Order: sequence, then structure tokens, then C-alpha cells
Amino acid sequence: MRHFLCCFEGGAMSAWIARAITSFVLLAIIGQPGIAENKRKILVVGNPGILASVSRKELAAIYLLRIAFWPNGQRIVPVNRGAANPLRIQFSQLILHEPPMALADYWNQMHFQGVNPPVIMDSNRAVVAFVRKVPGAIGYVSATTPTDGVKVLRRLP
Amino acid sequence: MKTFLPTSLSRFLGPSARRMLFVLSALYLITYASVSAIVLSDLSAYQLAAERKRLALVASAKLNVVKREFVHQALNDRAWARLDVMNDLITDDVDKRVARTLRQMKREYKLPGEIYAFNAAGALVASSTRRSSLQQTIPRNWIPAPQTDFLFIDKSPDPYDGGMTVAFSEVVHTAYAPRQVSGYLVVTYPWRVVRSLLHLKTGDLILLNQRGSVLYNGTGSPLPLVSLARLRARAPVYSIENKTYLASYAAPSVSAFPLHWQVVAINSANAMKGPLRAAWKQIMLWAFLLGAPMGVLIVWLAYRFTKPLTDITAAVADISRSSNLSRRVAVTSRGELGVFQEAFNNMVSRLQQVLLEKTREAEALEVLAMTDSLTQLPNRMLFVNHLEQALPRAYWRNRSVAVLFLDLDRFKFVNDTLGHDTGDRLLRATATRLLACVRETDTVARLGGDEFAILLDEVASPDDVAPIARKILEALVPPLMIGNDELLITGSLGISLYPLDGADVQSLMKNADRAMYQAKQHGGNTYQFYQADMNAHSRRRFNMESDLRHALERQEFILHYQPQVDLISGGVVGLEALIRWERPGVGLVSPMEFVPLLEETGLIVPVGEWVLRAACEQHHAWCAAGLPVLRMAVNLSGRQFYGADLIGTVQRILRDTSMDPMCLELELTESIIMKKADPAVEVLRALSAIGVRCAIDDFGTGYSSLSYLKRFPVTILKIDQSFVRNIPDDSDDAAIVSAIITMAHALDIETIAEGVETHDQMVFLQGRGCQLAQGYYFSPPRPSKEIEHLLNRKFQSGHARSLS
Repeated sequence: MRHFLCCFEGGAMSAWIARAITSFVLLAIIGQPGIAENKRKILVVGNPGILASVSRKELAAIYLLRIAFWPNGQRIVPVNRGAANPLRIQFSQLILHEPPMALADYWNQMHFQGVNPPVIMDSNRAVVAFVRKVPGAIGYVSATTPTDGVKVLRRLP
Repeated sequence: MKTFLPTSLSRFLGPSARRMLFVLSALYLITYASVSAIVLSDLSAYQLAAERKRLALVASAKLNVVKREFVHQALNDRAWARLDVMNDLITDDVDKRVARTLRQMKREYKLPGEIYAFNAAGALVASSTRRSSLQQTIPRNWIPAPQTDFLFIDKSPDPYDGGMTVAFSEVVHTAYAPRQVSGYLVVTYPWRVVRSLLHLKTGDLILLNQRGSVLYNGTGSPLPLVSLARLRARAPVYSIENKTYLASYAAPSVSAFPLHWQVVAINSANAMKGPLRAAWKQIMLWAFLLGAPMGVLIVWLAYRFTKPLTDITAAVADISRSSNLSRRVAVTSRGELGVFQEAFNNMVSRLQQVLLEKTREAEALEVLAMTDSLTQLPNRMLFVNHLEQALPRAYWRNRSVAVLFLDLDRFKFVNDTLGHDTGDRLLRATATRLLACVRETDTVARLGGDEFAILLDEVASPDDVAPIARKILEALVPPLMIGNDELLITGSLGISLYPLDGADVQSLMKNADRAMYQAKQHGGNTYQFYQADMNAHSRRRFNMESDLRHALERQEFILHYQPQVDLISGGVVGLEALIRWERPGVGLVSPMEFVPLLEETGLIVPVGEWVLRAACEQHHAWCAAGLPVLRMAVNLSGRQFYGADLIGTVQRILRDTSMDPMCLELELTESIIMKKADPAVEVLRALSAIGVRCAIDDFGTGYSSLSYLKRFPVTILKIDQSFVRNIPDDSDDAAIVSAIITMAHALDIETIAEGVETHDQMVFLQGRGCQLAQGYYFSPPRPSKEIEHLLNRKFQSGHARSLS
């Protein structure tokens, strides 16, 4: 719901401003090293139906919705956490090299193009539960989270 | 109705009025009841139709309300099922975001029921209550059929709160699991809410589901299940357990929403009577409100229309009771009743008039009967009447009453000589004079003929009567001029006094009459009070007189005849007719007794005429029988002689009896002729002119003037028997007789001697030259039969002496 609101706010901006912001975000993601401390480990989990391994780049592409299908043709359903969630911030630093707030404009842009941002869950358990149920789903949880029924695709960092 | 009328109203309204009142009231009530019945009936029909319409509307409206609510709920359910948050059903709502959302929805939408979210396995993962747990699973009947996304759950128990509910179940899909059920979202709608929607103020709703099970029955009205088909066929009236119901059936219109309930709106017919009862109350109220003035109006009308009748009835009763024809009724009405009243009044007026006329006629007749028509004085009847009334009055006041009888002297003479007309005028004049002599209170009556009676009422003393009597007599004295005749009238008054001379009407009148005769005997023109000793003499006379009055008509008079003898030849030459009265019970009465009475009463005139006629008839009869023709001598009274038409009477009788005038010899006394010598000469001449012979009777007793004797055309002198009786012994009488005979010879008048009884007398008379004689020596007066015998014998023997 909050995302929809952002989208409406962003929609009011002019086109050139939006383009400048986008390039800035991209630069920030690529050029900045992780700010957040590696306080905890993050587990990237996936539906057990996912056979492929996932690289960090692939992970970043998935979460930026640049790729939508698994190699077997399965649709990729990424699960995200709320924007202010520390785990998401940490995950964003790690994978996208940018804090989630910095990507807000990007998601707005995507939204205008008819692409919905990843589904957001509020808890690790929910992420696990969702990933377990939804084929092609991929998410990240803190390392302490039980991962019964899901496939740990990667450990971060 | 009559019995309800108070008595005062009964008196106020007669029977007809009460009948009218009853009829009009009945008419009013019937009319009002009819109109009311029609109105009520129409109202009832209208009510029924309206109720049917209302029930139909209610049925479909309620069903629509329910359906709309249900559709609303279903659409909500569907919308909510498609929210992104429903993706959390995949995670069994680990984050409680669904639960939060559901609670929020319930709050915001003010849902009467709950929202339940189930995961794909049917486990309850979230609800708008806080009581959900994964241990609870979705009821089997809440799961939509495969390949369908929606299910309407009919009335069934809510497994979570135990109440009855309907529910809307929507399958939740996610974009992440296309064509897979990710859960179910069920919205419940508690049955109590449905019931509240279905509640009706009047009537009931019965709700049936598709299979015909009763879902709702407002207050438990008996359901006409068997009649459902009929209800569908719109035959909405049915009866159950003696109660009538009206029902209307409705089914939802075909739409996407799969609601297949049926509803029956039902109302008991009794419930519909409410408005009818209200209308009935109105009718009764107006029946009273209109009825009260209407009743007054009807009473007024009944009174108004019958009042003239009762008035007239009362008037008729009044008239028939009291004969009071002055009674009228007031003309109060217009139209026929007014005409009736006027006609009644006119009729009574006319009756009154007629009655008045009749009364006047009767009074006039009575007056006529009580009045003498000639003088307008009261007659005998009224006089007696007045006297009868006066006597008791006088008795009580200790007064006297005088009865005066007046008889006019010589009235008969006036009447006979001057005619009845003069007599009548005389009577009228007398009446006037009498009236002038008495007081208003006294009565003057004419009893008949020339008899008057005067009643002096309330006389203080008998001494007061004599002046009045004198006054009356004096009043008669002045001469009366009637035509060319101057009449001198006197009267004889007889007076009787109450109570002195009689205590009753009859005796008073009888005594007054006797006194009057007494006065007459005293010569008339005088008054006489009644005296008791006058009775013996006067009664005989009185009786005789009254008998005499009828003797002529009863043919009690007869004639005897005495022969007159020629002294020379000795033969019978004439007969003197002498009257005799054969009085019943007495026998023959002497002429000496009754002839003066005849003279006095005036009866002598008709009786004398009868004698003349009878004698002439007898003479004629004898002549016809072949007997010798004799002279017939008949006596004439003074009244006859001086009567109105002596000559005419004699001529008429002679003609009627075919009598030869020469045979008739009328005898007149010397005193009659000498009383009025000059008129007598005229009469005598007239008589001799028609050939009748006249004789002077009783010659020598009066004062005959010899000079007159010379002038009188008489043929015979009758020498009075008083002279004859004593001859020849008495020289004086003999001289007188001789002188008379000598004088008669000298005047060439025959002489006849009366009362010859002896041979000496006859010889003396023969010797002196007297031609004729009559007397007992020859023959007494004899009846006609004896005379016939005598004449036959005499005729044969031819000698006078043998007569006896």
C-alpha cells in the first residue's frame, strides 16, 4: 500500500529529473562499497523447486526485476522486506550496494512501466512460508531463521 | 320504538305522529345502514385488494432488500478476496496482515457478521475476530464447488459463534499461484440481521429456500405449504384452522446472484379488520352525530304534519262535547293541511250560521205560535205561560197578581154590521190602547174573538187594580174612526186576584171570566171584581152559553110550528115558526131561557138565519107534498134586522128554497122597530119591495108612535098575549084590544091575536073584527110531523074548532 503511495508521488515529477535520478542510483549501486556492517548473516532462500544456483549479480538482477524467469522457465517471484527493515537495508547494501531508500525512485520508474515491485513480507517466517508455498519464489531471511521446506540458495555475506 | 318514548312525548305526538316518527326513523336507519353496509363492503373489497397489492409489494420488496444486501456483501467479499494482502494467505498470515485487514474492513464497513480467511488447505488463518487459529478448518459447506469462485451459503450454523448465519464464500487466488486456490475468504451475515430485514409491522413474511424449507416465519403463521402452488398461481386467500389468511408470493428475479429464495407475505384476515373497525367506529359516530339532529328533525316533522290533524280532532271532540260552534282552529300550515284547516273552519262557520238560522226560525215559529197574528199580542198560550211564571214569583215576594178579562161590548154587532175588516181594525186599535195603559212588565194578550186578557204583575194591593181598570175603560171611550164609520166602543172588565180569587192559572182565568160576565150583566162599560157568590147563577149561564156556541153546528135546534087561524073561516091560514133547543142531557130548553143568551152573545144572527132558512125549506117541502099553501111567520131579532145585509140574506134564502115571498111573514117586535124608527122604515120598505110581509110582534107593549105606524109598510099587527089573556073580563085590556083592532082596520092592517086560550076570547075577538088568532085554544106549537097530520085532517074537515 505504501508503495502505491510512493508511486503516485513520483508520478508527479518531470521526465528529465527522473532520468537523472536513475543514473545516480545506478552509479551509487555500482560504485559504492557496503556501508552496513556484516553484523549478521543472511540466508537467501528459494522454493525447493528451484534447481539453479544464484549468483550475487543474478540476485541483484532478480531484485531489480531485470530477469523474470528461472532457467527452467519458472517465473521468478522475489520476496522483499519492508523498506525500513534493517535486514533489507543490509541485503540491499550487500547485493545492490545501495540502501533501499535510494532505490525508491527506481521502483517508481518500474511501477510506471507496469512492473510491480517484489512482494513484501514483514517477517522472516513469512518469507520462508511464502517461499515454501510459491513456486519460483526467492527471498532472504536472517541466518537464524528456520528454513524448513525451503532451499537455502546462498549465504550472505 | 313507542315504548321508548317518554310519556310527555307521547302526549306531544299522537299515534299517527308516532307511527310517522317510527317509519321515518326506520327509513333513516335503513338508509344509513344500507349506505354504511355498501361503504363497508366496498371498503372491505378495497381493503382486500390493497392488502393483496401491499403483500405482493412487501414480499418482493423485502426479498429485494435482502438480495441487495446479499449482493452487496458478496461484492465486498469478492473485492476483498482480490486484495494483495490476501497473498499472505500463502504464508498462513504469519505477519497477521490479513487479520489486521479483516478487522479494519469489518470496522470500516460496519459489518454485521464476521470475515473469515482460510488458506488453501482450509485452515482458518485469519478472521475479523481475534479467535482464529490454524486448528480450525473451513466448514465443508463453505467451500465453493470446484471451478467456481463463489458460493452463497444458505442459512446454517456458524461454526465459530454458534449462531445461525448465511455466508458468502469467495475463492482467493494469487498472481503467484495462478489457477491455484490460495485460500477462501468468507463473509458471514448473521441470520438475526436477515430476520430484522424481513420483519414486518403488519403481517408476516415466510421465507423458503430453494428446496422449500422454511427459513423464516415471522411470528409463526401457519404456512400454507400445500397452497404454495396456489399462491404461485395468485390465489392468495386461504383458510387454516378457521382463520382466513391473505398471502402473496414472490421469488427473486433472475440475476447473477444465485439467490433462489421464495418469500410469502402473509396477513391474517383478522388483522385487516382494523381499518374496517375504524371505519365502523366512524360510521357509528356519524350515525349518532347525524342521527341526533335527524331525530329532532323527524320529531319536528311528525309534530308539524300531525298537529293540524290533532288540533282539528280536538276541536271536533270539543264541539261534539260542548256544541260550541264558535270553536276554530288556527290556520298554521301551508298547502293541503292549511286548506284542510280553513275548510274545517269554514264548515264550522257554515254550521254555526245554519244553526243560527234554524234557531231564529224556531224562535220565530215559537213567537208565531205564541202570538196573535192580528194584534201581535201574546195569545192565550203565552198568556197562560206568563201567568204560570208570574204566580210563583208573586208567591215568593208576597205580592199579588191581577188577571183582567176584557170583552168588548157590542163587538159582534160591529163585526156583523160593518164587516170583519172593520172588526179587525177595531181589535188592533183596542190592542194599542190597552198596551198604552199598562206597564212594560205587564202582559196584554188576545185570547180570541173580542176577548182580551191583561196580566198585572206584582201588584202590591188589590186597591191598585181598580184605577188601572178605570184607566183601561176610559182609554176605550174615545170614538174610533175606521173608514167612514165612527165607532163607539166600550168594554166589560172582569178581574180576579191572586191569591185571593184562586191559587192557580185555571181558577184565576175562570174567575176573571165570570167577573167579566157579571160586568156585562151590569150593562157593560164597567169593571167587576170577582165575587165568590156569583157562582151559582153565572155558572149555569156560563155552561149554557158554551153549549149554545156549539148547538147550531151540532144541529140541536129544531123548529116547532103554531098554526094561525082565520077567525071568520076557522081555517088555518098560517104557521109561526118557533125555535126549540134540544139540549143534550137536558131536553127541550125554553126559548125564554136561551134566546136572550143568543141575543147577548150575538149567536142570534146565525141562529136566526138558520131558523129562516129551515122554515122556508119546511114550507117548500109541505107545498111540494100537496098541503095547502099557508103563510109562514118567522121572528127576526134586532141584530138581524139591523144586520149588514138582511135583504140579501132573505133574498138568497128565498131563492135557495124556492119560497114564494108572499108566503113569508117576518115578525119584528115593536121595540126593535121603534128603537131606530127611521132606519127601520127603510128596511121594512125594502122587505116589502121584495114581496115579503112584515108583522109587528108584541104590539102594544112598546111605545109605538102611531105616526110611524102609518109610515111602516107592515101588513099585520100581532096583539100581545098580555092583553089577550084577560079579555073579555078585563075592561081595560078589552078596550085596548078593541082600539088596536079598530086602529088596524083604519090603517088597513090585519090583526092577529096571540095567546088565545079560551072560547070566550075567541068570540070576543071575532066580535071585534080581529081577522086572525093563534094560541093554545087552537093548537100549541107542534113539531112538523104533527102539523102535517093536523093540516091533512083540517084540510078534510075544514073546521077550526076541531084543531085541538
